[in-house]
Amino acid sequence: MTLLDCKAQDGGTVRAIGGDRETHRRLVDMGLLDVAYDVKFKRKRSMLVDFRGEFSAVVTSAVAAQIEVSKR
Amino acid sequence: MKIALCGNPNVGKTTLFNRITRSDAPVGNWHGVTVDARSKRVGKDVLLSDLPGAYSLTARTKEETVTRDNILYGGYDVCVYVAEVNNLRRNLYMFVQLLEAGKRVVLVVNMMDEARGKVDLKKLSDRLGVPVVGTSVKSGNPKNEILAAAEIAARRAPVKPEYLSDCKIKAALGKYAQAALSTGLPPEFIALKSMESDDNIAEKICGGCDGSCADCKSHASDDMDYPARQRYAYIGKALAGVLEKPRDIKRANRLDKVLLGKLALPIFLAVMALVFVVTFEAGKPLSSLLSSLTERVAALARDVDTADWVKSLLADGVIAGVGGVLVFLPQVAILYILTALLQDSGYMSRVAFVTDDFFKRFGLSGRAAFSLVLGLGCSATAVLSTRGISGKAARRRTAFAVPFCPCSARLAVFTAISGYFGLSGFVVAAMYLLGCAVALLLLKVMNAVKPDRDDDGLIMEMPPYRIPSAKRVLSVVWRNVWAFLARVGSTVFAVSIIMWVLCNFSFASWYSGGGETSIMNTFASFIAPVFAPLGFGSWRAVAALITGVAAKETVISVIASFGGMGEVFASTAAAVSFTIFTCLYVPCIATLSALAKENGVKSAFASVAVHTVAAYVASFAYYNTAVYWSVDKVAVIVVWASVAAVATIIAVGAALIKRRRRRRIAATV
Repeated sequence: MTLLDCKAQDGGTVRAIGGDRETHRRLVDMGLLDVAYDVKFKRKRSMLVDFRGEFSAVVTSAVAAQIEVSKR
Repeated sequence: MKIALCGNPNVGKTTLFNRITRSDAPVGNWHGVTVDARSKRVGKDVLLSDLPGAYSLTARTKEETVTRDNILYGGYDVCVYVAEVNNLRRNLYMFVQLLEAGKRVVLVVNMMDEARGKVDLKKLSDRLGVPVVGTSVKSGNPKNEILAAAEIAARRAPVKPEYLSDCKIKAALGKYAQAALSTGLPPEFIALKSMESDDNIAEKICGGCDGSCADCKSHASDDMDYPARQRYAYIGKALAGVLEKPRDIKRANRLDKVLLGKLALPIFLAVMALVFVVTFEAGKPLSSLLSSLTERVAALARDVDTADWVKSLLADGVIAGVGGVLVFLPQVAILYILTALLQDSGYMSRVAFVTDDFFKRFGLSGRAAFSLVLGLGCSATAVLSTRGISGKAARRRTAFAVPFCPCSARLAVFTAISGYFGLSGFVVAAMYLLGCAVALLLLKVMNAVKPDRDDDGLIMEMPPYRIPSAKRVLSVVWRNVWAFLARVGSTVFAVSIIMWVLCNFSFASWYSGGGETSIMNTFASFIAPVFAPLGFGSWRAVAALITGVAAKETVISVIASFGGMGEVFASTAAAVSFTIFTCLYVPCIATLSALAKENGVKSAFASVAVHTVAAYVASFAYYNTAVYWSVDKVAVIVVWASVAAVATIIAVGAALIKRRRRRRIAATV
């Protein structure tokens, strides 16, 4: 499943990052590889996700669809 | 010694730069405040450069390219890498790449006062092999500590992370020896970046290729994340036992629940409405005070025993022109205070999330909200701030939309006109709504004609909530108020004198004391008929508009030097029509040059044309509606109903065509 499939308040761990080369690099550079996550808010085109309890980030649906996760 | 100050976005690099160099560069609690390198000397021997924030040495946006190029090819002796204490694991990712690139580095762990657990900096320094300095806004100026650490780092050999000796990397080194020689970068760094398919490195190896040729693809590793995993493993080892387990951030979560919950958009709109009401109302008493002061000084100048033309130059040219603009200083200062408070608290970044869905409909991203709110202060700065937006189309569209959002200089024009004609504050608010509505309408049309299929891939980090620092807010306000005063003292002052000369001297005689024979009348009368259908076809109004291209504040100074609103506008409807035109017409020279810099010269010219047409159409529509409303209400309603019907037919037609096209694409897929 991907991050996009998660509902608000869902949590788990990022398992793999897909997407085109640039998006993939961006997400890896931001430190999303293998980190725990919690979806705080979900909107139509984007979601606010808390990563590792360290930082929150706005993730667009297109990007969320590229992030494979496993739910807690 | 050349020192580069670098790090992830929003870790406090520019605040540190300001403290070390005693500068006043713009800072804020959001990402992308710094968009270009900024250098300043510290003493005789040190040149310190503040670079825009970046997450790694693989650049994706324009500002990240500036940072990467400066670090890799800028010839710096030492890089002072700033990291935030609560985000060390992620922040050290780019730091490790600096080590891979063979750079001498000092690590500055910033915001120590906000640490959510204990941090052992001595242990961290031993593990990483570089000098580490801890700083916070509450500590003294860390200048000496950082410069001493930089000198130590400059004397030492660059540190090599142990994973660079990994057999997978070593095996690839031979392939990159030539590239290492030509670029001056270590072969290990080139090997790692090639495994990650970095375009810039591919270009260096392959000579102009963007990394898509077969040869470049052969360099890419099957496991593109191999370098990243090596780096994170190295960081994990370095941080083991250095950081105490952080405490939870409950307060931020509670605030987010309110500000980003179901009422997020109404809360944002209420906040912006409050900003405008406070700006307009709270500034009124001080403005009136300044206004009466200006009138008194002008009266004193008229009483001076000297030649008539000198008295007129002083009273009607300089004092009326400059004073007419200075009167609005309180409103401008209040607007800057409120927007600085919003930015420094961390709320503005949340706005990007709140408005993302809305802006997507117009081909923009939520990140555009930053630039648009910045545009309330100065459009030129706001256009430059669009650099941080990823996605070329979204970036260009945001830069195009920003000048429609009225800046603080236009606020002075709106306030002056509505004040003179006794119009309510809603007229000023309506101008802001009009500017935004026209921008959104044009963006919608652009999106319909040429849809933006590129997702900007927005993943934007949220800065923490902070109680706004009085020092930072005052610094922002002071810088902008100073810029306003500088414009008044230079452009407005010069334009006031030039306009006074043009309006009081004629070709036939020396000093004519103004009127219909003046030089300005001769020229402006040629253009004035064009504006007659808008209600302000007088040469005085046209002259004010022309000077407004230099800086919008001059519109008011010129009107003041003509003897005030009563001399320029024949009716309230004409004055409101003029206000609408000023709200939408050509941006000032500074904004146009920023547009040319960001989107190209063609785009700047296109912007001039679009603004002029939009301003003309809106003013024409308003003025003629206002005039004919008193003559024949039914006719006006019929005309507007027809316009609405035609617009609806076009919109429905466009939607149907779009839907059919989408179905056809879906069927093909």
